Amino acid sequence: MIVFVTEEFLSELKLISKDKSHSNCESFLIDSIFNKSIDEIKNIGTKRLGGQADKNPFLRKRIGSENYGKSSGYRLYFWLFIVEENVFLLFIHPKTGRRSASNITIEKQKDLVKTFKEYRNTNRFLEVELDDEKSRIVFSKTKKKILD
Amino acid sequence: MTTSISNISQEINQIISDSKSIPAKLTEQERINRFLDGINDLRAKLVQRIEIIQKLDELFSKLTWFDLQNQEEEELMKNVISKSLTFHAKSIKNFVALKESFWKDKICREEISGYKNALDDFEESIYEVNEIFFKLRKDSEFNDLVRSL
Repeated sequence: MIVFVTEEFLSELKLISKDKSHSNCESFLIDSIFNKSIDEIKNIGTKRLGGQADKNPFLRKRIGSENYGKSSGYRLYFWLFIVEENVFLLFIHPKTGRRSASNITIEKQKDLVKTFKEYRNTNRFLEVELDDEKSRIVFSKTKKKILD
Repeated sequence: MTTSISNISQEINQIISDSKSIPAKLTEQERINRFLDGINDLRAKLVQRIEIIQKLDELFSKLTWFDLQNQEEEELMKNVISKSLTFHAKSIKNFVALKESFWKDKICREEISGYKNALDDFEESIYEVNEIFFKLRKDSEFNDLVRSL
């Protein structure tokens, strides 16, 4: 499985992670996407917003809210290309706290589709992967951590 | 027959002598045991309730992997959303009552919080499914964009 991100996604992730109460965001992302199979990504707490269910669904997933009594985690928006096993991470927001939102608007969701299309057409997606310790996300090209 | 009045009398006397009245009050230990049994029972019921709500939440996620094919399915979806909202509202009242009764005594706090979190997630799913089927997927710009990929 190959994971790609947009600049907007990185920027949001950095802003969220600056908040002490959301310093766990990267590890939840690793647990929910990088350490999971395509089927697990699809089937655990994931809703299809649009796209073709068996080929390239546009998805929204809850991450980091598995333990009840804890925080309500994050909401992740992404496209999944099932045959190619490619994941395109587009947007993330916490459910609670300063940068929270209960849901993003339909206009924002349409913007995410536009962004996806634009990035795909201009080949701007940034490929990311886990480092050797499997504990941090790094850019595939430079091996530099996405969060310093 | 060797049984005599004396033997029977002796047996009756023995039974009477061995028999103790049921105390009209519970001992302190019995009270504590009943109280603890009650807490355990409440905890089990809350865990079971949380599992039911999480199952409903999971089923709502599964719904989004389908597309509505006709008017009948649309009505079915509206009906399930409406029933789920009613169920959620009733469950919230139940949560409030439980919290009022048990929170200040620190009984089953973790499970009561878990109940509320599960209900919050479920409510989010209900509104989200409603939005996905009846707004987002009916938005012509969204559909055109998705088709153009």
